[in-house]
Amino acid sequence: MNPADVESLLEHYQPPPPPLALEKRIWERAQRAVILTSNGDRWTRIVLMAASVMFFLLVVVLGVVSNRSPVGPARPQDNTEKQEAIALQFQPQAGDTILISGRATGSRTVTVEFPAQKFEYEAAGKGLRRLVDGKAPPEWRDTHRIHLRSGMAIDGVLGKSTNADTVLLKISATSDVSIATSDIARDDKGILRIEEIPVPEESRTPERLAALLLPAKPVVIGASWTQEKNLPELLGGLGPVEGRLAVTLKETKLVDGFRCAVLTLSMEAAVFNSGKAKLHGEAVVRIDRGIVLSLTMEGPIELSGSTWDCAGAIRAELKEAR
Amino acid sequence: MQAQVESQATDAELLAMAREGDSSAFSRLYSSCAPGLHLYAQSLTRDAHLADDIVQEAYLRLFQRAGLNGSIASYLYTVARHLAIDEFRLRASRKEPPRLVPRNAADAADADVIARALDSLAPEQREVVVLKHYGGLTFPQIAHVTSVPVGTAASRYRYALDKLARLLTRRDVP
Repeated sequence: MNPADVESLLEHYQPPPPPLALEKRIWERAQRAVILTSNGDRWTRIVLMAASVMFFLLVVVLGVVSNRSPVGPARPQDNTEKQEAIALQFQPQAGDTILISGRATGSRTVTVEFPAQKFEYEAAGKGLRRLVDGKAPPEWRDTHRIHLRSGMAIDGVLGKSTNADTVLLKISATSDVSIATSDIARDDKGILRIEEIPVPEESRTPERLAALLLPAKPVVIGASWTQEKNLPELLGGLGPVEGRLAVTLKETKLVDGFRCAVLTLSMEAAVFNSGKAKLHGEAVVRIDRGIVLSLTMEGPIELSGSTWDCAGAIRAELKEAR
Repeated sequence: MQAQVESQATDAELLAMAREGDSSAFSRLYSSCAPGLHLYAQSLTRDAHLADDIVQEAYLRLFQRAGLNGSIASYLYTVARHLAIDEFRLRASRKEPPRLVPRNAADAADADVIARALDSLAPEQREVVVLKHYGGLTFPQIAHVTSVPVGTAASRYRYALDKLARLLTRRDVP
């Protein structure tokens, strides 16, 4: 066989066709990409951009002039009708899998009074949680693993409070955090621990998270809506969280090539039966799927009379259907 | 008549029509390049799923690219090569050599042998063969895609054919 024969032989074969769904997927995204970018050539885009800048300047100038006009103050304008209403609905495609993971931290500073001296100590807690939706593939199935650690340690020197010249104090104590769940264990060193809580098949966290955050109907940027019900997903699913959540569509932006909605969140709720939380944060939602890609919340949580500065984040990893 | 006009449309015209929302134009543009492009991406990454992503990204960039001069196929292959080498290679987690299918049922028995012979070539030689035979590119276009002089592209192709001839003559295919 010589090289010419090889060339001839290669002609007898061809690449297999790519997956059938790929063409449809590219077409759908290409249409969005064209909509998001200018549809013309480079010069058309430059002209449009220049026109936009000039229009913006014109609006600014007119605004300044009208504010200075003796006729009267500028009237506020409602641009809502001119904006595109965005539908945010949880609609994963068949075969999509979503991995949810979350992290949380909490800390507080407390002043302890001894007879002759005050000490301040800090306590900190960390939690790590991994939730897997019931439909996830086997390699993503997991159990909740939560490690909470709280307590205090004081290394200090007491002088005037004792008769001795110096006394080294080393105090260790547990914090008084309490969480209403029977799965927490406390050992003799005061460590709270939760381990290996099986994920219930019906948890469907991505869907419930979307149901909490997303509006019932299409909304424009700047629109707000509220939820008033049990919101356990916002604190990683731990315990009852009864309260009010206010959500505002802040903006849209591209994340990894996908158009996403950025939501600002504000929540006041009773947590873990006896505690109070006043949290604010932000969520990013993929518009085409209605899936919450990330959610961060932070603020004070008052538990058993002590206030913890808490922060938490939930992230979703979406593995799309092919 | 309409079908005849469409059948004579160039890739650039198909792209313009697709940008206007013509899905059949996109389908024709896709079917003309995607199989070879997918094979090329998989030959670079050895990962079929990554090849899907690369083909998708290449087409999306084509859609967003304004004022494209030159061959659309050449552009797609250049983007795919850039993605495979610079952005996707680290993500490759599989070892899937590219496959070939026979144009005629009579050649089915040797498809696997040919694919494995192709896979045993040095990457730069395999790349040129795939671009030439399954991407339909000319040597100047291959040189542009692979960033080498035209003479180098041609000599790599010649060496690749020599090696394939030896392998297939002796049936010494891994």
